[in-house]
Amino acid sequence: MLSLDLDQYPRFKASATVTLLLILMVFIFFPTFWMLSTSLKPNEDAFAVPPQWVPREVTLKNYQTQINDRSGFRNYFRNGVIVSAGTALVSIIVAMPAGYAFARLRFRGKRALLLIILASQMFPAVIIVITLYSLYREIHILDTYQGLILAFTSFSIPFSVWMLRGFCESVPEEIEEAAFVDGCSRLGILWRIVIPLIKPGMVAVGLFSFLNAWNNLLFALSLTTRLEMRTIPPGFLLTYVGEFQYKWSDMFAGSALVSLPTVILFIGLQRFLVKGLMAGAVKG
Amino acid sequence: MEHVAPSNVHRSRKWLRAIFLSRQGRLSDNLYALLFLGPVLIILAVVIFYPLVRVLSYSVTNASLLFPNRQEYIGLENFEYLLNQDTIFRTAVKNTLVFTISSVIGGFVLGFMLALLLNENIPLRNILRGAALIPWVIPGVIVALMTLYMFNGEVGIINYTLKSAGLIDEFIPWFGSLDHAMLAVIIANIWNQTPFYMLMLLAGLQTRPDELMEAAKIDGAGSWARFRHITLPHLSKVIMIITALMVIWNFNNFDLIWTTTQGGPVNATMVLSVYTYRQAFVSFNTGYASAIAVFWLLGLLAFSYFYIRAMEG
Repeated sequence: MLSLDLDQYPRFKASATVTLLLILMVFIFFPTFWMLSTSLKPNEDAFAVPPQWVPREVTLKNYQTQINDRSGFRNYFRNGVIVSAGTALVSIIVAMPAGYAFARLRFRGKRALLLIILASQMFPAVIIVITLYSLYREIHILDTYQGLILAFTSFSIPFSVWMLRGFCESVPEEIEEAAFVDGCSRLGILWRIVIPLIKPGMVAVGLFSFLNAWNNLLFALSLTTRLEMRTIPPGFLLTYVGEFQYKWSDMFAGSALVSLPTVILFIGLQRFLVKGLMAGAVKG
Repeated sequence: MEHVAPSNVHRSRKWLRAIFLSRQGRLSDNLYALLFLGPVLIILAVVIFYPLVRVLSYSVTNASLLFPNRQEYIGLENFEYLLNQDTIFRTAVKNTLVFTISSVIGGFVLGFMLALLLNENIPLRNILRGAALIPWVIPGVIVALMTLYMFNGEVGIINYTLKSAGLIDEFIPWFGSLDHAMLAVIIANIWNQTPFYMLMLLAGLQTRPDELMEAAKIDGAGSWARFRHITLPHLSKVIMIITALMVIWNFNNFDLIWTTTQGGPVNATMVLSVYTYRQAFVSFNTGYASAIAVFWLLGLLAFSYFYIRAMEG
């Protein structure tokens, strides 16, 4: 066995820890810093060589440009909010009873159904979209909010069901028994007892589904054809990649604006997410 | 009533529980399950499983988005072409493997280091833990736009830094170079995913029993021995799960490569997802794209099978 023991060299251990941590932190944080720094520069300065690490001249003009861009940024942002909020709502509504069923009910084919639901997230989205596009065209829901919400929801269902199953299992069964003895029906138990107790799980699922829809490129790109229906990822892709690749400052002001909500939501939410994942994993 | 014997309380609770369980008996539970699972199953059937079945059936036809009404059965022609003549497909398979394996190894190693470091008692630990998630949380398209700027051949900060440090003599045209484009997207991808490994491994580390570590320390086990014989075995299940997940996710990755290179230059970053998408939505060969998809699914199935077997040891 290796006799290396860092505990015998506390000084070395401390300085190695700090050095490694610093290197990793630069790796993790620099790109985001660079995005923000660039977003605050006049566009000419984004081309400067040597680069201006900190903006020589700070301006909010790029942010104003984005916020005032009616047919572009504002349109994508509005579509993004509508579709993502819709997805969050639908995901919660459909995944909630399903999660409960897997946690509490005893029924035929339970294991198989859970497996099917979980496996559905393993299928590559690119494969599904090949024919989903044709299906959407046939039933005329290309370029509609409903169509996008339906597609996004299908992708957040496996995770949502898994999370909510974990949360439902954490509700003490005695409370449900007591409610039952008091004459509460299954639906009543779900509505009056379980839902109030697992609100954090529902919030987590809603935010997760929201972010999923907010960030989704492939479906949003393939299932919409009209500019007015674009959400943020396909909107940005079509605006900034290729022809307009020189508008770095504008691009990063827009990027900062759309990343900010996701960063805040997600970091605030991580405790729930990990708890849910771990709860599910332990009991799975 | 306060003096009911404990065994009586126990018995009456048992009795209530029996009613609760019996009233949930087979029939009503099955009905409720149908009601509760119905919406989820309908959505998955329409959006995931029906399209999958349709992909299977399209893979033996010459279906095309350009001619919605023409769809002839052509047997195994697509598959024959795919296996015998399509050199881009071969490149795509190779690139997908390179992209996936490098990304998973890189992300895992960096994420593990971060998790171990942020599990130590260091100042600002909680803030760093949260903030370190940023790369994973930023939308994929934005990650790709950042990559395009930072690896830009003329004004990119990466070229400038490398040249200042004396590591390169000339600026590298990252996305115009057959030898460098893949490296650039892999680095960006690792950056994007490192926090996920960190998050999961950190959660695993926090459930590591302290007593065991202390006991090992007292018994004279060095830090490496403790890592090797306590930490790693404790994390093995989490490690298995996240690496499997990430192999599959990276195999399916579309956003980053489509936004940065669309598979170019000259197929240097062509991966399966981008090639399939191009066949379906740029060349409109729905049938052929479906044939690629069928192959891909078989690959995923094989991976899952061997992985599950390996996990069960």
